[in-house]
Amino acid sequence: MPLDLIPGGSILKPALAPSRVHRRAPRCVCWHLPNLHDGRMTLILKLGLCRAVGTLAVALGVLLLTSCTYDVPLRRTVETTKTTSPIPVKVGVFFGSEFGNYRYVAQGSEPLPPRSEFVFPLGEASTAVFSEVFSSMFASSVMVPTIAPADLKQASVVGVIEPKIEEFHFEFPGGLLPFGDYRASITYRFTLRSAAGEPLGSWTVKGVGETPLQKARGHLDARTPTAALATDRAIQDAAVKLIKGFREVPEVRAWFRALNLQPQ
Amino acid sequence: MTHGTEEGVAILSKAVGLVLVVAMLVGCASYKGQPIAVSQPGSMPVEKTYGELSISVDPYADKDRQKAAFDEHLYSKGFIVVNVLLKNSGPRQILVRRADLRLVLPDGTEVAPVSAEIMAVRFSDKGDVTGWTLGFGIIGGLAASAAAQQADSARRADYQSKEFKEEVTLVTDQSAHGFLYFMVSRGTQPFDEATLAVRVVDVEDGKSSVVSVPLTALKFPGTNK
Repeated sequence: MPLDLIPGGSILKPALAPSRVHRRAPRCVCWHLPNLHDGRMTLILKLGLCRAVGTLAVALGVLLLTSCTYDVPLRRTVETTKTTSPIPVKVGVFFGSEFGNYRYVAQGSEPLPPRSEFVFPLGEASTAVFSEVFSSMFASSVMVPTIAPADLKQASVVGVIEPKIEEFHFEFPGGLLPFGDYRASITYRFTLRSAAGEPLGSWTVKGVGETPLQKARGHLDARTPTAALATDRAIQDAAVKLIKGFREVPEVRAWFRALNLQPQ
Repeated sequence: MTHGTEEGVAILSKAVGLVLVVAMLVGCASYKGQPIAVSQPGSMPVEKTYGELSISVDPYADKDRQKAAFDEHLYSKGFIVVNVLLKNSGPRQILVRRADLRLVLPDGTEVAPVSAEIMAVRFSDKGDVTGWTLGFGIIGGLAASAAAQQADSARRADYQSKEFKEEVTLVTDQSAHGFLYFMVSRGTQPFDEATLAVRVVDVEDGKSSVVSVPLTALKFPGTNK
């Protein structure tokens, strides 16, 4: 019920002198109800109803003004890292601060409750997942602090891969009906650089994940693990696609040729 | 039939009638984007050739065309959409990635395309669920909610079907087409001209090239800060 149906002022005063208050300004919608009973009974009923409406209004007001933040607990491990055989080179992996600190905040608009926030720590989760992924893809991988040639030379790597989050999209199921899915999609951009830090190629990998609404029934808190599951699936999907498609990327194949590697 | 039963039947009939009326009224809120005919090279307003690759572009600057194809005035929320057709007539395979087709604004800002899901959500039809709930109770609310969800699903599916593929490899005489959805940031000034930067990769040697295609008569009104 919209709160403006109850103009400001005490809701108890009308009980003392309802007619006088009503003439000046309607204090509560309940005073417009028809008289079902006569005399004191009507007054008691109206007073009770007014109190109930007032309590409900206060409760709604508190709910609207309360800000709630929900941290979405994302996985920090990769489900599968099965790859044909590790690429026999040592690569550097550069996780920029923008990548590591990437957080997506879904703020309260329909269908979320007003003033609620769902925080997705995508950078932390992605850093952990892709550290594992690159470890499994190459004979050796090492995190490099920068892509400066001096740092790369010191790390003795033949190239560097830098992931970035290009796009993240999340949808809560909307509407009143108990249908729909939590949907997440994440697009990573991977940039491959030579041992001297020169860009050799750049491409994107998109992962998608869904979780049915049924898993999130109940309290609002139940939404966070469900949202996390859909997001985890999207990140895992991207990881798997990177592993499977890495050797097919034209720029990677050219890099392999330059290193005299066989693109098995 | 007792008096009570008759009353019950009458109330039930009214309720069913109300649901039907509500469902019919709410059902009007649907997605009405129309399919787009596949274009051929030479039929689009902007054409450019790079070696054996032909690039055709059709910016949807006109409000009526936007409304017909996407059931929205796209500029109102900062979206610029262009229909793109690429055809490879050469012997070498060419890789085209959607993320590598960028809109370069007059101030030099590069805008990457967003996915169809994002554009669909921006134009999502929430429906007046609250209004319908207040007017017709929970039945009205549920009907409005169902209609809004249905419209959203149809919109998403249509935007996805019209979108340029995420990645496509063009062999000899093969072509690819679809829309690119660009969302410009808040505070963008009005402009009429922009450039579509098309980066393509030669699959055999992994080398990439960028082709600039000038776009005119965009009539973009700018976005609010």
